Amino acid sequence: MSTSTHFVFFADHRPWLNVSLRSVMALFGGYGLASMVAATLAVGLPLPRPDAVMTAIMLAFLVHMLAALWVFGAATLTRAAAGLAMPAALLGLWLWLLPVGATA
Amino acid sequence: MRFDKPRHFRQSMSWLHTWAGLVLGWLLFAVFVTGTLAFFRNEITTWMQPELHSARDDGHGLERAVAVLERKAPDAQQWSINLQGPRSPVMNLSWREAPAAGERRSAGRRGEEGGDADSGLEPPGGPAGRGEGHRAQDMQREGRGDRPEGARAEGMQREGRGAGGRAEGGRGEGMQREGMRADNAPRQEAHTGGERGPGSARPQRGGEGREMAMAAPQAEPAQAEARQQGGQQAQNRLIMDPATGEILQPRQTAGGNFLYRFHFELYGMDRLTGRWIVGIATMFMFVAIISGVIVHRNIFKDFFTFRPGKGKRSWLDAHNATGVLALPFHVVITFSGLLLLGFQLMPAAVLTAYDGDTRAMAQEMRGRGNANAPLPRPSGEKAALTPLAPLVAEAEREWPMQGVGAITITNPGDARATIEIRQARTEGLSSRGAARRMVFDGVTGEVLERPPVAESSAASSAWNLMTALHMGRFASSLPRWLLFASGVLGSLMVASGLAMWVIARQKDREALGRTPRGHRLVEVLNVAAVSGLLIAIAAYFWGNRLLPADLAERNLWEIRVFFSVWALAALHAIVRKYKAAWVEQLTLAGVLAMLLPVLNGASGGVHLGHSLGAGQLQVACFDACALVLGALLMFAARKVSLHVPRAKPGTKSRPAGASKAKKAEAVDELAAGLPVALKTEEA
Amino acid sequence: MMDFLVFAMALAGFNALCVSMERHAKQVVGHAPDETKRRGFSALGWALLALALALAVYYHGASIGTAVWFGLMTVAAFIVGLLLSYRPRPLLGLGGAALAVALLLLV
Repeated sequence: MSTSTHFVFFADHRPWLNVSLRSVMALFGGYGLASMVAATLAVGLPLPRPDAVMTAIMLAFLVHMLAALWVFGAATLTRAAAGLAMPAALLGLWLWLLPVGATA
Repeated sequence: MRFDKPRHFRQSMSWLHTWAGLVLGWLLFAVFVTGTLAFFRNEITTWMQPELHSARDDGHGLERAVAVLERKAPDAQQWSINLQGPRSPVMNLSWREAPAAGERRSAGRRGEEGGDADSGLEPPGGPAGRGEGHRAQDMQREGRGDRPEGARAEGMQREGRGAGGRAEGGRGEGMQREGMRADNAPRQEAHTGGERGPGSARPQRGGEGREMAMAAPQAEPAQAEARQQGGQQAQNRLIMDPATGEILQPRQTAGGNFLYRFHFELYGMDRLTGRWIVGIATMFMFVAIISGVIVHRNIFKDFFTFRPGKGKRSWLDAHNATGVLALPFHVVITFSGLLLLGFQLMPAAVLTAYDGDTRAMAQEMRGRGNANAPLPRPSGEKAALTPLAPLVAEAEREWPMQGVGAITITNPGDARATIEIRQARTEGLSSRGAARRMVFDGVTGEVLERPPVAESSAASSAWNLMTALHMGRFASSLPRWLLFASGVLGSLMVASGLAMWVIARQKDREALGRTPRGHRLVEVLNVAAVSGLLIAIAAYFWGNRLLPADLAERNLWEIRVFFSVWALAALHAIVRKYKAAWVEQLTLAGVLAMLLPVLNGASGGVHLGHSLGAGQLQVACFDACALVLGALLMFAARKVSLHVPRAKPGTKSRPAGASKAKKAEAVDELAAGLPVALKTEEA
Repeated sequence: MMDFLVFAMALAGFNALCVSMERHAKQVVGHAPDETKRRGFSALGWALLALALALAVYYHGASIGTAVWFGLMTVAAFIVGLLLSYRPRPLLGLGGAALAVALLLLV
């Protein structure tokens, strides 16, 4: 697993900082991403509203779990962060593009 | 393993598994154990009220119930009878007084709202205002044990088999319905009396309770108020021995409900806080389970593998076996646990879809569910009520598998009386646990309607399936026992994981020549959380029988016994050495548990010899389980005391020093199930 | 009774599966059966488990049936695992015997 292809910065080399940052990312970043999933899918899914909400919540918990695995599995901190940020940004875009009150 | 070095994915997962499991593992053990017991919380409550043990069923309970209701509540608008059954030996009767004019309109909803709540639609985590309403419910619940019927009424009626005639369906609703109700309270205000049937006056008090709770800054005074409410409530509920028609007055007890509520909202703190803590722990569990599966890999190859007497290896095998054998259970119970708290833990979905208005969602859900016809008005003409037994027989022919759980009689004694009979259990798990109903004419006994059960969509089916499973809403007792067994395995999995953390670092400590403070902390917490909790639970049952039956705040005293004993056990774990603490505590827990059946017979309950013969299965099974689990604990204590750490001379002769860290690491990974092959290939 | 049949099938299924694994077969039989035999046991084991699922679903409905099936499988596998660890010999005929008893009870 070569690190040369990834952006590595000083925190990657400090074991405690590395683990702490990953933990924070898994806990809060993961929750943030999961919340984005919940928020977006609840209005974005082409389902009746209560169904969309329930599906969104179910998927959100799965996403949080997967996000935690990702954050600790990723080779570098940057990769871990990017893996959270990119889907969150995409979801944010989707949420933003959704017509206001489309499903309300 | 270090994250600043290149590593394999499975090494990362191994680290994650170890630490995600450990950090909240002690709490998870408590949640698992109390949750496992909560599958039988009605039975536990029955055991804890020996006054009910000798209730019998002679097949003529219905006539007696009607006679009692005619005597006690001749002018009531509605009577409810929750039948005795496999989960309760007694009949629960309740009634709703006729409301003043103008209050009728919303009185038609009975269990329906609970029915919605079944889908797990629970918004307790809503904004502050709703939180208050929610709190009011909490207060009310706090008062439950203070009613003369104590937790029985709680377990059997309010929550239990057929609050609102919803029979079993109502059981796990505690958390949900509560949320729903908190939610409904502001909307429907006080006059919704009886929207939950037997609870008749309850929602009214829900309104009051909410105001009181808002006025009461702390839980303690609010509890007193809740007690007061409890007193009023008691007037409308009775517990009857079906064979004699005698009204029973069981002792106050916190009952199985304390264990049930503790398992998802802990105790002594704001309930929302408790749920958040348990919710976070559940997410840790979820991560630990999935990462554990990734690490384990050879699930099928090692499926039956258990190598006893091999130290670490055996512990790892035991951890794997308990994890893998009940893996579907672990995954489902953890995920559904998250779902049950889902509206609180993940408010974002409701925030965007409903502007954060959980009430709106609840309404929309309800809107497509069962239609609630208003109660028929009484005609004012007197007419005799048709005998119930033939109607029940007819319903039982209709639902041979599900049986009859509850009967609701509207306008009894009037020419326009109606009788609604509900199934005791539901047919499937995906239909929001909704029970079928049959409605009869109360005078002629003709069938008026058989309302269909609302179909649910794919999403809510999945949701309901998960949550209903978590709450053990089943037709027969077999699946409940299976859940119980899986829960025991889950508890063992958590406990063995915790124990393994210490065992895997044995060499670490030997090399170091002492026990680092962190290790000692884990040791103490392990003993206190595992065997200490078991002692505390056993002591809780002992307290139930040893405290005077007429003690004021008896239910609170039971809970105090539980926590004091737990604290003492923790103290003991601090004072004693690791192994000695295990042996002593496991022995004590085993002895306390094994003597429970004796205590039961000696303190007013029906003892095992009698209960088995007389078919008092709820009581007999409790005693039998206590015997078996107690024996297993004693066995475990003996095993631990006989255990001699292996290979000590070998490790001492080996050079420690430079390879120390590496060895500790290797042990760590071995403990997480990483094959040696992976490490050699890495090297 | 139906539940016991499902349980017996799960027990027999796991019994067959464990005999189909080389290491466990040695524990039970004393020697490893040849490849084709083990394949046969494996197929038999999976078939029995699948049949047990079908039976459970038929009897209890899809949702509860599946839950019951998983639960009974857990218990059955636990028993097979315990026996294998401490007393593997009875596994020679345990599953078959359980099946026979279940069928007898049913008739």
